[in-house]
Amino acid sequence: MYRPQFAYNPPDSPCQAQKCQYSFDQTNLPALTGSLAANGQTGRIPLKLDKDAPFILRGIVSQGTLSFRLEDKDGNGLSDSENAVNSTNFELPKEYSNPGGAGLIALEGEVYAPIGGTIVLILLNNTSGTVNLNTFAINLHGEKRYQGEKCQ
Amino acid sequence: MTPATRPPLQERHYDYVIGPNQDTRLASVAAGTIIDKIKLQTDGDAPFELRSRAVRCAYDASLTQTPLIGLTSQWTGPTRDYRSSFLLESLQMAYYGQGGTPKPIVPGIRYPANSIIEIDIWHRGTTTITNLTFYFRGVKLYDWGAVPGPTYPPVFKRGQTFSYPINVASLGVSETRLTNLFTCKQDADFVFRAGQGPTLFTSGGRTLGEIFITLKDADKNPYSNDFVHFDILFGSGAAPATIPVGATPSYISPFGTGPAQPGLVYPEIYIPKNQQLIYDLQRADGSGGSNQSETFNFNLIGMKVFQ
Repeated sequence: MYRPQFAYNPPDSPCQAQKCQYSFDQTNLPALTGSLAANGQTGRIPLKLDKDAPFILRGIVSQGTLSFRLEDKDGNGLSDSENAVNSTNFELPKEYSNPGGAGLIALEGEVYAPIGGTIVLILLNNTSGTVNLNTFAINLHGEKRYQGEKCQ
Repeated sequence: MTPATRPPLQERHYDYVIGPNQDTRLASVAAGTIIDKIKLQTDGDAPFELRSRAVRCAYDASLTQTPLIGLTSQWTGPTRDYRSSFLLESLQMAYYGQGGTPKPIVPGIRYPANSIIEIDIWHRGTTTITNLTFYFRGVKLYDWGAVPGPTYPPVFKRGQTFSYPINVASLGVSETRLTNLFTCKQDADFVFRAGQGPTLFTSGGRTLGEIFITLKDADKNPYSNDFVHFDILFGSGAAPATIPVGATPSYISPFGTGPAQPGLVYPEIYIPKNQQLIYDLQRADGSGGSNQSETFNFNLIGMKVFQ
């Protein structure tokens, strides 16, 4: 089984870590309504994170056939070839984020998001037909990092 | 955390392929056949440490590898010493070591430069095996500095998870496309740690199944002695291919071989910014059915290193 090659140390006291999983789908992401035509692309969809603690992203799982790209708080893409063929600059779920029935996809080199931060999602329909946006869902796995208080 | 110690020799990822290009008898192995003394001489530039194995054959029309049922093998260490009697490959490794699941060899077996790896096979199955290929995977061992080995700077700002999707446009049915360039972007170095291959398919008479890759560093020094199938080097997501499991086998799609379990490259390949990783591609599906040029993506997975 694939595991990150580097283990993560627990945070120094008084910081405390708490496992956290964000799920974004049609129930909490208004942008996931309607449909996306073949070769269509959405705008930059903000995935708003909680305001109680920073979030450290360490893994993802997605559902659906839409390709996508994530960007960190500074707008750095987590995948991109900067290719003239735009579809190449998005990740196919089956090669990037669909676990194929096992576990989750580790992102080695964690991604930090501050309190109330935003991770950006951009969707691309790389299939030959229209796809309903409500078929897409993504889970962000990681930990919240509390400072100066114990989290229960 | 304990600081990492430098191994005594410089390790470099390497896959030895033993297939029809190395011994033509492997192009077609009839049921009941025994083939002995299949030999591969390792390269003379460095010793090789075997750390994992895999085996595959050409897909059939339904994209299965059914003929591998009943394949047994025995192979030798560095002194032509057999490490086992004939063993069923199906009982040694999940999915025949494909899809990011190579069979670990622990402890590793070290072959001096110019060694002979010898394999005997006894095909106890009932179907002829086409293009039977063994993969002996591990590392070459060099004196430090003997080959370029770019690595992390002493201090760097941060590492960020990153993956490069690579597009292959219109690869012909029997095309060999040499010296394709992947150029690392200029903002950060890239550590290539794993790969995820394209989804193979057979549909409407079109098949994308027999696709191979050879990785080379910027000096064109390869990471394998021959083309390696994507099924072996990389993981395979949503694989339609079926693998026989069991004595009276069921045929299943590999389970859990998606991006959660990409094909790992060990040791990782460090590509400084603006430098290149070269890859050769080959497709051998042939012109049967309605086969045609196909476009697909594969994925280089790793981490950006910002200095």
